[in-house]
Amino acid sequence: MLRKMQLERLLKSHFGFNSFRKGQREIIEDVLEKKDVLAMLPTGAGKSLLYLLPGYIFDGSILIVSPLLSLMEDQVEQLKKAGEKRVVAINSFMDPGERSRVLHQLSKFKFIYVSPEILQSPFLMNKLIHMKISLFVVDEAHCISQWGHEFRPHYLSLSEARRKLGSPPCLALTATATEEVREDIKKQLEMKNVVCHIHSVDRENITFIVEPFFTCDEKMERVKELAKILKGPGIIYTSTRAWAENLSAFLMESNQLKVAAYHGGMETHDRLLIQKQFLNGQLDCICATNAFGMGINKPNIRYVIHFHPPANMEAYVQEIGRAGRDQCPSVAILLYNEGDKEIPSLLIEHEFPDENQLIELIQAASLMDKERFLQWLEGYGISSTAKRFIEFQFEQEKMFNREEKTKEQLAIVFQTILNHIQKRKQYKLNKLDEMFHWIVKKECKRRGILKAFGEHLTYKNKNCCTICEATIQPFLNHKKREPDSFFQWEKELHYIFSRVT
Amino acid sequence: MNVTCFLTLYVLKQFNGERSARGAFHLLKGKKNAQTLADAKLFDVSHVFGACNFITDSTFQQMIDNLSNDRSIEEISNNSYRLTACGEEKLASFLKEADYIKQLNGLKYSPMENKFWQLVMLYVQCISNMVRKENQFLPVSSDPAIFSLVKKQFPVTYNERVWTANQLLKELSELLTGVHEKSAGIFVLRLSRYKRIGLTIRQVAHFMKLEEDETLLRFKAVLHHIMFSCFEWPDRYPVLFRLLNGVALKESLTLSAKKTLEWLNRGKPLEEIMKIRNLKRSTIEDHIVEIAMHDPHFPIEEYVSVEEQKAILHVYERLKTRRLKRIKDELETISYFKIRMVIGRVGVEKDAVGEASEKPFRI
Repeated sequence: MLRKMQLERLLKSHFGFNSFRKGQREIIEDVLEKKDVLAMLPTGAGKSLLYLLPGYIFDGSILIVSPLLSLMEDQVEQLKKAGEKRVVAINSFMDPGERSRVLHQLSKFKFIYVSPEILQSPFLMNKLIHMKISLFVVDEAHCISQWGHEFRPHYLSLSEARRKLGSPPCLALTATATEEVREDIKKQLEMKNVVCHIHSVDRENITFIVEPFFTCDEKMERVKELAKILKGPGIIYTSTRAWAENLSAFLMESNQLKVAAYHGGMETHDRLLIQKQFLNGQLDCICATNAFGMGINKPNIRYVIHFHPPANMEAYVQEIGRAGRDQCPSVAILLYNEGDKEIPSLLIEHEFPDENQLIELIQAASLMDKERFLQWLEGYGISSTAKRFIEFQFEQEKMFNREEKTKEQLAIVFQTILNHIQKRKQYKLNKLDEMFHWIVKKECKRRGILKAFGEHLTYKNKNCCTICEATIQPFLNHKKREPDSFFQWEKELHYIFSRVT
Repeated sequence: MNVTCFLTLYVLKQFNGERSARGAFHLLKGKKNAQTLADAKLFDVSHVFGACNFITDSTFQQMIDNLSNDRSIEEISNNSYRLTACGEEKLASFLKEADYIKQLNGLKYSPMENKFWQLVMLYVQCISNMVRKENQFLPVSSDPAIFSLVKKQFPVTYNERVWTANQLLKELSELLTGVHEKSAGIFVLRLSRYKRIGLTIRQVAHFMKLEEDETLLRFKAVLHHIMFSCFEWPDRYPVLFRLLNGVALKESLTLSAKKTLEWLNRGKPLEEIMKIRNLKRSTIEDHIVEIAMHDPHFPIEEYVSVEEQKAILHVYERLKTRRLKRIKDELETISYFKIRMVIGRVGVEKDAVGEASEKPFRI
């Protein structure tokens, strides 16, 4: 009872909230009892609080493993904004001077965000070993599973890192993990006596619309119309960088909307500006690849349109989950035409080297040590996902051990990896089929999503989905857009430095 | 033709067939090797050094092909080009219009333009918010180094902040009056302020209905103009000058040359630096030439006697060529190292006098 009041007091004083959101308290209580916890909560349910609040109770530091640079930086920025100075993100892009400054006083930090790659640095590990780590948090924990939609081989080394740190209690967090992936997370992280908090993937305030088209041109016309009539801000997801650019230019020209493209191929500074403009409410809509979104904390996104269907249900749920985090009604619209399966199938192909490439890669690796091979791999013509895959597989097959391998041994390695590739490809293609099956099936879309995650439908939104005859009527924009005022640089410059709000 | 195309024409014209198209590519790209840095000075094109750092190998090649096809240039020897009369004409009319090119100073400022801009952008955003007592805003940088530089220079009290805001307004108004209306607009749209995040080059280009390349170059020219003015009149632009001072000019040297300079500053002679750094004599000499070109006060007398300098200049003026080989042929006893140092140092000024009427730019 005392603890209950104490928790609420901390919640109020550090985060300014009066009460917990659904499910948060139960998870935090288990964390405070130093149990291993696996929590699956929909995006926007306030996952970071689950380790931040215990941070103010535990006397040691909290180590948070996070897969994406932008995600870490975003979190750190938000915490700093909220007044917490003892927070730091350590990653390989850090300025060396800054990094050594941070590492020398690491124990001063309460919340330490690291990438799984940097956690393999012996220097950092040595510092961490001599500190008290009270909680080992793995964010986006589904990345540890080969069956997850965003497998990252480096995550597999986390169990070892945790062991080195004296096995502190572990909190694994994810928004989207199927039953199969959840089991894998527990196993790979060596979690013991795990308490699972699995929340429904259902987002009650989101309406699901799926619209078929014959041609891509028809789809373009429709997306143009939607962007014009829907209330923003919104995200339009495309499957490639080129499409994100094209669509953004197209919408800008035809609709006079404030649209921008966002994808991994853009310059870092530009990407940062676009992201902040969007958060700041300067853009009506953003055309993006799946590089946009992880960790983007914007509560009032009103619509998410998929101009191309994603490659699996998990990705879909994660992407539409960015809409309506403020719990207000929002809409997820998926547009597709016959040919739309091609790009994701191709992308799946590109996630792996082909047979000839595999032979070349094995030959190269048999002649070089690990470091030189990785350097050589940098310049090799396969996707970065394929590179990560190869690095991991070669590690598994002990390609970088000292003793030389015979031709026969190399042939076995080749066959083993080839089998892996075929199995993984087939798995991914099945996932893609599942996605398209959901798209075309005449069944309640909400029910379909829940089924994919092993859940049953218990509640239905009044404006549920296409099949339940939902309409986009409630999501239309009725306000007139204000035209841009005439721009004069002197006037704007004066305004920048004036005290007028 | 777009701006990048014209700049290529310009560089080829300056090279006058004495350097290959490859050299023009490295120059526009801003490649920091001894050869390119030397070319920049020798052919009086240091202002456009690094002007097109976004250019790729294939787009450059495509451009050269296009320029050949529309007969703006002709190949005189293996991958060396000369402008045709038609090319000269096109270039001249472009240069008449594009006055902003004059304000570029790539060799000097492009190595630090990005860092300086990051600083200005974050600083202005902070001031704009702080004078309105707004301290919750999304910073436009995520670079801790930039943050700490801004923090170091940020006024502490509210009154100081208001003063700084007014001063910055004064400084920027004055500086932007010195550039074209369009360029000033581009710069201001890129700034971030209270409740508004600045635009990307692409967004500005769209807003102003300009080409992206031109927008970027105009923007760079404004930055260079600001940097130049701040260094020239630090008392007139104290706030910007202090920001600029946080970004050292030393950045324009190659990393390796920087290290050599450090040893020179500690009084080590060339031979000893060779041993310490385990480098060949010619490499250290490259560094010294590079340093001499950047620092007008660098004592070249220590390496070339005044008599030798005179002899070199004499031949250089007589032959009117920047081809080192031809100069060397006339001066058998004087080393390449000495010739490069002297030509690199004074070549630019001498040339500008001789051909001033033809030269559209000055550094």
